[in-house]
Amino acid sequence: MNQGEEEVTELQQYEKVVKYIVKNTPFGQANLVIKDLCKIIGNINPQHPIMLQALRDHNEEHLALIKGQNTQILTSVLNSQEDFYVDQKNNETIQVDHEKLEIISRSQVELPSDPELNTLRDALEQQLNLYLSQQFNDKVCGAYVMYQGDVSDFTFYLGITAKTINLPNFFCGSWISTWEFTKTQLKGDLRVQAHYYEDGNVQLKNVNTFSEGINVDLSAASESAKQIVHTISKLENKHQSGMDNLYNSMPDIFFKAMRRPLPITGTKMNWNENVHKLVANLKQ
Amino acid sequence: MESKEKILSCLNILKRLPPTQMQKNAAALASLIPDYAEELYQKIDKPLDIGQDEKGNQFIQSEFNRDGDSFRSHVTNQYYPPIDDAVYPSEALRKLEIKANAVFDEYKRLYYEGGLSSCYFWDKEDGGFATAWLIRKNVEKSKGIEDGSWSSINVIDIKTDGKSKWTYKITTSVVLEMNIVQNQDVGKFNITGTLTKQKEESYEAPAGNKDLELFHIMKIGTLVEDVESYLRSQLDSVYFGKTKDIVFQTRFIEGEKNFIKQRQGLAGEFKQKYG
Repeated sequence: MNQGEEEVTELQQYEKVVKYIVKNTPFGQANLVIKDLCKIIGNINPQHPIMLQALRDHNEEHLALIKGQNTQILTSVLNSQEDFYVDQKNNETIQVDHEKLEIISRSQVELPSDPELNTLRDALEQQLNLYLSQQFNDKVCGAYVMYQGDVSDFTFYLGITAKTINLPNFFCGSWISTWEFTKTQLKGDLRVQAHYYEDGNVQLKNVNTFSEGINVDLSAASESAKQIVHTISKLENKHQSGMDNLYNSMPDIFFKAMRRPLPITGTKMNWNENVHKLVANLKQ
Repeated sequence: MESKEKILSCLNILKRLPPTQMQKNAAALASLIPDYAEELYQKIDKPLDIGQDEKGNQFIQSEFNRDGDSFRSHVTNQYYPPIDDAVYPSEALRKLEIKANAVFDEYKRLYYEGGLSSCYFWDKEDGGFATAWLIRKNVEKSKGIEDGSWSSINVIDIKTDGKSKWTYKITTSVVLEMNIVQNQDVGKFNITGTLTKQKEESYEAPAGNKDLELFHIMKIGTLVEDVESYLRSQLDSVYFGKTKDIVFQTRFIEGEKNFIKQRQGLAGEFKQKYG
């Protein structure tokens, strides 16, 4: 094996590790992790293809919000192409900078579209923006609506996300839900993550799936959109309420079962008494 | 020094990844820096493993009772799997170790009502000695929790000034996991956490060094009890609760965002009027 071939295999090994580490990094900290990975590997910088690909995958999995001057886009596996992302509503392809989360350029493109489905899409977008404004953190939040197919056989894809990123105070969180619906069925996946690392390191990873029967009437787009987004918000509210209950019961069902705050006697251990008693027993 | 920087970068990354995946995460990073892998492994806290001797008696496996791929049991003072030329505590220290395990077992019973504890001692070159007091507790399928685990790693360094003063320096780490596999309201829910604290105390030995061994066990035990209780309380009331706060400021429950805005609006008005 010559020098060139050896380097390739080493790089493949690095690539595997980089992908794994960046994939499991909480959203908001990927750039810092990549900087540290470069220091560890040496002779590599964050613009290396391995790093950029890992960052891109990370952003797509977390529905990263990319901002432009007067537009924005969520990057997802769904609208991802080789070098750009597809914005179905505005008939554009968009190039992004994954490190800075900025739009680099936009180009017009001709995309297949259906006027009835467009109408439903626009109504859904309106309802989703309303939902975002009512219940999500303004700083980083966004939603997308896309569809495939035609009026006789369609699938709509929705994405909703909000992020909290507060690195100076050592915490981050993400709420990421992706939904799809056909004429009769709504399905969704939710991921909730939180990370607090001031001195310690605590991470929450919570995953849930939803499925509900619906009936979409394309001729009543506004009403249909309201119902669909209402169903989504109802399911997400129920989930969050469940989280609230779980956290309230945690001191009793988890911590106490793990280690009591005090022995059942109500007082701390009497070391003097116990040490003498137990060591005396040993001698017997 | 290059190795220090690389290890620091590894530790920085590990702090951003789930603590109970520490073994896997550390192994992945160690594969990038194979020359410094050993050094990295010694700096990490991970959930404690449990081993068995030939009679089925359990003991905790850790960095502090490891020699190569074998681990020494606090019960039998033997390595499993057996090895030649292994490291053992001195005879005097082994006597202390046996007593400490008996007492620590009672502490474990009082606070953990189950679980496994092990104490390991080792001699140090500066004439002092050190000890690790370890606890592993599992909680299985109770009240909706699918599984949960607690590992506490208390490492105490003991030094004397040669006269009658003894100094105990403790570093305690707790690694915790709570796992719910399927809950009808929240689905799959997993929280993992780790927290570390250090403390140092000095004491005058009893007159004539009477019952010095018991003295050490009492002092070490008291420190362990204090720091473990503190960490448990912090994890319960601060750290785990913080993850809830983070989620609830990312998505607000119905009506709350509006309520907060109203309140902020009123506060603004108040400031303007009377500020």
